[in-house]
Amino acid sequence: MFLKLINTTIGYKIPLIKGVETSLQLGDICLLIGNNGVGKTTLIKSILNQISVLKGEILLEEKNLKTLSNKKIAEQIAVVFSKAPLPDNYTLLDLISLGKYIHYPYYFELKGSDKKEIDDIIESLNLTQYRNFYLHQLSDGNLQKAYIGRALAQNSPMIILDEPTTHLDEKNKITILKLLRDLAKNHNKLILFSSHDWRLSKEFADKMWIIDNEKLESGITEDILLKHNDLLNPQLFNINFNFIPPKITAPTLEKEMLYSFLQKNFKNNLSTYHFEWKDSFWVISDPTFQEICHTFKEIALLLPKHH
Amino acid sequence: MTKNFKITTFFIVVAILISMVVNLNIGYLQMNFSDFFSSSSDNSQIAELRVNRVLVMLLAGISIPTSGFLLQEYFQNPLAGPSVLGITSVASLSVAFYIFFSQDFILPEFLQNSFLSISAIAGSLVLMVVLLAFSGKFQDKSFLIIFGFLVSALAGAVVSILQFYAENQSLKNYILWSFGANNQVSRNQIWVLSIIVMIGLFLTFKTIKPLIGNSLGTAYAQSLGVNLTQLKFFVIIASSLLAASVTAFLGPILFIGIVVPHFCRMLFNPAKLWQQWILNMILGILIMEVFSIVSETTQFPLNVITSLFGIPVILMMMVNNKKSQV
Repeated sequence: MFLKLINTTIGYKIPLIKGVETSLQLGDICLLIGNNGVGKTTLIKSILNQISVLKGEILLEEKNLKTLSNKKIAEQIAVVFSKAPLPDNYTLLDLISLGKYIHYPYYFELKGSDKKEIDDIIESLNLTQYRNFYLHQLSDGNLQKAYIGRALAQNSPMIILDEPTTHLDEKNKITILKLLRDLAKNHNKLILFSSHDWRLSKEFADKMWIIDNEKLESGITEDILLKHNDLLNPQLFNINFNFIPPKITAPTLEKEMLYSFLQKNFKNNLSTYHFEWKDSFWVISDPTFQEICHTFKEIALLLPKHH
Repeated sequence: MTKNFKITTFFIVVAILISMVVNLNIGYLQMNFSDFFSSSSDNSQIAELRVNRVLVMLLAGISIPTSGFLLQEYFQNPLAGPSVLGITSVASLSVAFYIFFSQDFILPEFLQNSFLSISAIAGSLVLMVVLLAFSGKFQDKSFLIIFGFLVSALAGAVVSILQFYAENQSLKNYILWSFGANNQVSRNQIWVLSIIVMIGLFLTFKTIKPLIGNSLGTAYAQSLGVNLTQLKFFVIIASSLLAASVTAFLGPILFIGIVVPHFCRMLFNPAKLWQQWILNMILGILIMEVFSIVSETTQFPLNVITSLFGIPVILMMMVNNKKSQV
């Protein structure tokens, strides 16, 4: 295991998350979620040893984090914080080159091989045309990519990203998430990222850490989602307060789609109905009838008849 | 970029050599080559004075811009400098205390010279300790700059009180010192000055890499393994030593600490701090040698010339800054 937390309690003086027991290995992409203020950033800073743990220990490659120097940790973990500083006079090239900082005793001038690597990273992120742009001239999406590029140049096996998709539009979010998944799967990196966009992000993560009620629960994304019905439960987005849902037997996505459709279009109590998804169609039944519908439009036409 | 840096450096170094030779030849007396090398020559004492002048300008040209550069990079504020943090004014205050109260003591000659610098450095050391004590409590970088401004104002007020009650001779000595006395530094003082400057430069050498790591802010600096406490100590100690020692011997040299780093950023990629530091030192030497030549030929005090040159540049910087923010 690359990263291991053993009965760890985390917080600034007052504990925020208690008794964390979890681990991650190279090639994993893990999504960290939790409401504002539950301690996501504190957890990230604890893993970086910027805040010491209150109890228990964090192991990095089987070594206690406390015994490692900041430099050793930097060799293992690169980080992208949620706030992207914009130092004056820094170009995109200067920023990404800074990833090589820890590999030089003085950082006077980059070696030819490192310059080439930086160029490759810039190209792989599709940023070549912005190479000599100042950071404040970049769009939010490109700035985020540049900071990820800096973390990549650090060449560490693990990358932690705090809210990498905030302030990005849908298309850029997906680009970044795809990039992160590619790093984990094709470059054997360990990616840990936090996000408020868990609906979208979960599709790209194969593990999940959820912080709730001072506890951290971890596991395969799908298992966590099943256990935390409240996360998936579309009632979170209740726009129709009179609506009483039917029984739905279907995979997550179809279930959510149907729920959303029904609560928008029907004020009634549908609790007597049972909807079952059969791969390509819905079987709709209540004590008096059973019908098959292939589209939501058919469902819309069918249901009023029975009321 | 690297080529560009080497070419720029080469030209500045050539210009420095020329300006040094010119500086050696400026003065009332016409000197010839042998005066500088034979101690038996009639003019050898004047020759020594001129060599001292050139050396002292070299040390000042290295120290003041380095001090300003360190403070600007650390506080990420292009208007920070030794005069802004209050280092120059506290050094001036200590020198004033020394000049106004020392007239009653009769000290041996060698002690008189070193007391001036010791009092200036002692004053800056006290300020340094105060700054360090406060900066631990206040994380806010701008606080330090406001603090420096208040310290300068306070030091200025105390100097005025001293001037008001001072004897005529002391007052004249102080005012002469505050003009920038580039001709009155002895060889022994140069030794003392160079040792202090060397310590300051050594600390600066240790500081450049952490400063680069600090350019993305403290959170990133920590994640890159930068020791933030050590960085703060080194920056404040190095910049104080460099600025205070030169102030003690040469009087307050204003604006050079702000202006030279600004020019260097226009000459080469400002993100590359090692190259910037080297540029600061060599450009600093060149400017100080040239100013010394101007000061000798026009008979204006050094400080008047640095101000006449510096103030328009700083005004220009502020106007441009406003533009880029809009």
